[in-house]
Amino acid sequence: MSKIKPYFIVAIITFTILGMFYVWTTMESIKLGYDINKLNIIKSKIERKHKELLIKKAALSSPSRIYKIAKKMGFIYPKEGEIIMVHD
Amino acid sequence: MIKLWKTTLKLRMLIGFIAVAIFGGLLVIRAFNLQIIEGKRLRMLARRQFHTEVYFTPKRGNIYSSNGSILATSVDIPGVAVDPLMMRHKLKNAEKLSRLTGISFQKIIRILNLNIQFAWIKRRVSGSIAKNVEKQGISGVIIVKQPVRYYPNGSLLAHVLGFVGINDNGLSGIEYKYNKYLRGSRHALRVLHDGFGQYIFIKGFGLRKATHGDNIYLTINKQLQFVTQYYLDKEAKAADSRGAFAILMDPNTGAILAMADYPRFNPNYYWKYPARYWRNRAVTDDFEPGSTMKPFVVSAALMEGLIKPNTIINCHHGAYSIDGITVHDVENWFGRFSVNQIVEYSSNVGECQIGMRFKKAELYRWFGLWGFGHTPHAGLLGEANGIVRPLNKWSEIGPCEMAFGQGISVTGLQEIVGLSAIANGGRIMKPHIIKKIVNPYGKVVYKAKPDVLKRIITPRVDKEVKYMMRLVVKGGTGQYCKLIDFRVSGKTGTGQIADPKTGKYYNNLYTASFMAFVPYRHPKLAMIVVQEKPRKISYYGGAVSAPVVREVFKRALNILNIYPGERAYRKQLKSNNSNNNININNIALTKHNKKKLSVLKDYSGIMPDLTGDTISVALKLIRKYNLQIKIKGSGYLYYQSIKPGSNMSGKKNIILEFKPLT
Repeated sequence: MSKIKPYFIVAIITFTILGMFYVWTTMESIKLGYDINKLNIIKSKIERKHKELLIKKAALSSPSRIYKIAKKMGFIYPKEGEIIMVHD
Repeated sequence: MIKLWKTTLKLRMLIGFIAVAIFGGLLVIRAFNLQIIEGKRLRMLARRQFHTEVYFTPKRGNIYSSNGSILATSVDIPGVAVDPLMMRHKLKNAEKLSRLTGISFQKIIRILNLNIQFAWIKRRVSGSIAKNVEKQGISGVIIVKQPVRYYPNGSLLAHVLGFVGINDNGLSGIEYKYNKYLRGSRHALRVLHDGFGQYIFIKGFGLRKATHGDNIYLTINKQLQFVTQYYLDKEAKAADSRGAFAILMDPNTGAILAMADYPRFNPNYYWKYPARYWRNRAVTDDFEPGSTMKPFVVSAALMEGLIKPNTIINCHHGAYSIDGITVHDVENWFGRFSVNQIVEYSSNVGECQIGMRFKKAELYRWFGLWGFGHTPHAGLLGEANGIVRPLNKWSEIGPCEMAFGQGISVTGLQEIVGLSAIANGGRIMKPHIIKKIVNPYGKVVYKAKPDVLKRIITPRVDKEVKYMMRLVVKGGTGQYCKLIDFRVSGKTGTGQIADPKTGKYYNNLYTASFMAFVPYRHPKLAMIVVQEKPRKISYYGGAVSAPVVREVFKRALNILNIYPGERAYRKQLKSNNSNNNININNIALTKHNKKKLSVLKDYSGIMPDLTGDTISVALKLIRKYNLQIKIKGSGYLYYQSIKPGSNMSGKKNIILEFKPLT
C-alpha cells in the first residue's frame, strides 16, 4: 500500500468527480430537454389560442358585419352639412 | 513427471497462445468488418433508431390591411381520412361514417374497398363532426388537421387577395403573385428520441428558424375598401351592369387605398362561383375609355402649345365630318366652344379637332408618357397593358377618334395613375398595393416608398386642366358628383363597346366611367369607377358612375379626417344662419326648388314640373314616388315623360332628358 503514490489517489478522485459531474450534467441536460419539450407544447397551445382570438376579432370587426348591426340599431352616416366644424 | 509436465506446459501455452491469437484475430476481423466494411450502413441504422426528423409544416404568412387588420390567414381544419387496410366491419363502419360526415354510403364503401393505406373521406369537416367521428373509435379512421386559408372579411377585397388551393398554393391574386413569400419553406429539425418516442431537444433548435411564410401588409384601408365596395355594388346592381370596378388612390403617393370589383365572390368558397367572378377587372380588363381620355389629350395639347384654355373651336352643332366619317356629340346645340367648355360639356367634335392638331407620332409619344400601352407594375396579378395601336396602323383620323377615347384601350389602373398625375401637380407616381413585407421574426424585408416615375406636365398646364375638370363637376356632365363641403374635379366617360365578331360598335352597349379627385386645390383622393354595359337607369358615366364616386368621397373624407377648408365653413355658417336645422335639401336646392318642394308637400301625388332642374334636384323631387327612372343626357331637364300636374297613381316608369345650358 505504501508504494501507492499520493498523486495517483488525487488523480482517481479527480476522475471520479469529473465523471460524476459529466453524468450529472448529461442527466440535467436531458431533463431540461424534456422540460423544454413540455413548455413548447404549452407555447404552441397558447399561440394557437392567440391566433384563434385574432381571427375571431378580425371576423367580428368585419365592416360589413358592423354595418349591418349599426343599421339595425338605427345608426346612419351623417349627411353632408350635418358635420359641423368647431373653429376656435 | 516434472519433465513431462514441463513439456506439456509448453504445449498448453502454445495452444493457449494460438487460441488467444485466433480469438484476437477474429475480434479484429469482426471489428474491421463492423467498423470499416459495414460501418457506414450500421452508423446509419443507429442514427435512424435514435435520431428522428421533425418536419415543421410552414405556416402560410398572413395578409394584412394597411392598419394591421387580418385580411387572410390560415387555420387548421380537421379532415376525416381512412386506412382501408386497417378497417374491419366495413359495412357497419361505412354506415356510421356516412351518417356523421354526410358523404354517401356508396362512395364510402368504394373508398374502403381500395387497396391503399390512406384515403380521404372528407377533406374539410367542422370541429364537432371531427370530435364525433373520433369518439366512435373506429379502427383505421384518422382525423387529420391541415391548414386551410381563411378570409375573415368574406368577399371584401376578394379579387385582389385571390385564393389558395387545397395544397396550400396560391391560385389567384396576391396569394398567387406572392406565393413564394407567403408559403415559407419546409425545414426539418433533427432531434433525439427516447424509448417512448418522446423528443429530447438537446441540439438543433437553430434549424427551426426561417421556415414560416412572410406577412404581407397592403396599402388597402379596410374601411375605405368596404365603403367603395358597398356603393359600387349598390349602383352596379341598380344599373344592372354586367361588371364594374372602382379604384381609390392616394394621388400623392400612388398607394392604392381601395380596389373593388362587381360582381363579387367569397374566397372562402371560391369554387362555388363561375371563373369570371374571380377576375380583378380593375387591372385585367381594358376598355375604350371614351371621354375620360379627354383631359389627358388636352394636357398634351397644352404642353405642346397646340391650344390654350380659351382657344375657340367650332363644334359644328354636334356633327362633324372628317375623312368620310361623322363624329357626333350628345347634343346638337354645341357651337363655338372654348377648350374649357369642350372638356366641361364633353364635346367629341371639339376634342376630335384638338386631336387632329397633333402629329401622329407626337400623340403616340404622349400616350406612352401617360402610361397607356404599358404595364403599370403595381404589384397585382394580371395587369394588362391596354392597346395603343402601333403608329403604322393608325388611320388618317386616328388622332381624332383617340382624342375622345375611341380606337384605344386602357385599364382602370392606367387611368387612375394618369388622373393622380393631374391631381398631384403633374407627377406620374408608381402605383403600388404592397406596403411592406415582414418576415416571421418581425424584420421588414421590403418596404414601399412613394416613387416619382416622371414629371409629365408643368404646374401651369396642370392648373389649367384641373380647372377644366372642376368645371365638369360644377356645371358640366359630372354634376352628379357635386359635394357641398368639398370641391370635386372630375371627368365623365361613356365609351362604346365593339362587337368582337363584326368589329363594329354596338349601338346600345356602353362602358360608363367617371374619374375624379378631391379636394380640388390639394387633392388627397383620386378615384375611378367603370361600369360595363349598364342596362338600367342610364348608360352615361355621369349618371351611373359619378354617384358612386360622390358617396365614396363623402365617407372617405370623414374616415381620413379630412375636413373642409375655410370656404366650406363659411358656406356652412351661412346655411346655419338662414336655417337652424341643417338639412342637405336646404343647401342643395335653389330658392326656386325650395318653393317647388313646399308646393309638393301640399300636392303630393301630383307630378311636379322638373323643367330646368339638374339631375340630382330632379331625382330628389320625385324620389318619394319610387319610379323606375331612365335618364338621358346631362345638364338641365328639358323633357319629362310624365307631364307636370299628372296624377302619379299607377305610374311606374319615367324618362327624364337633360341637356346643358346654352
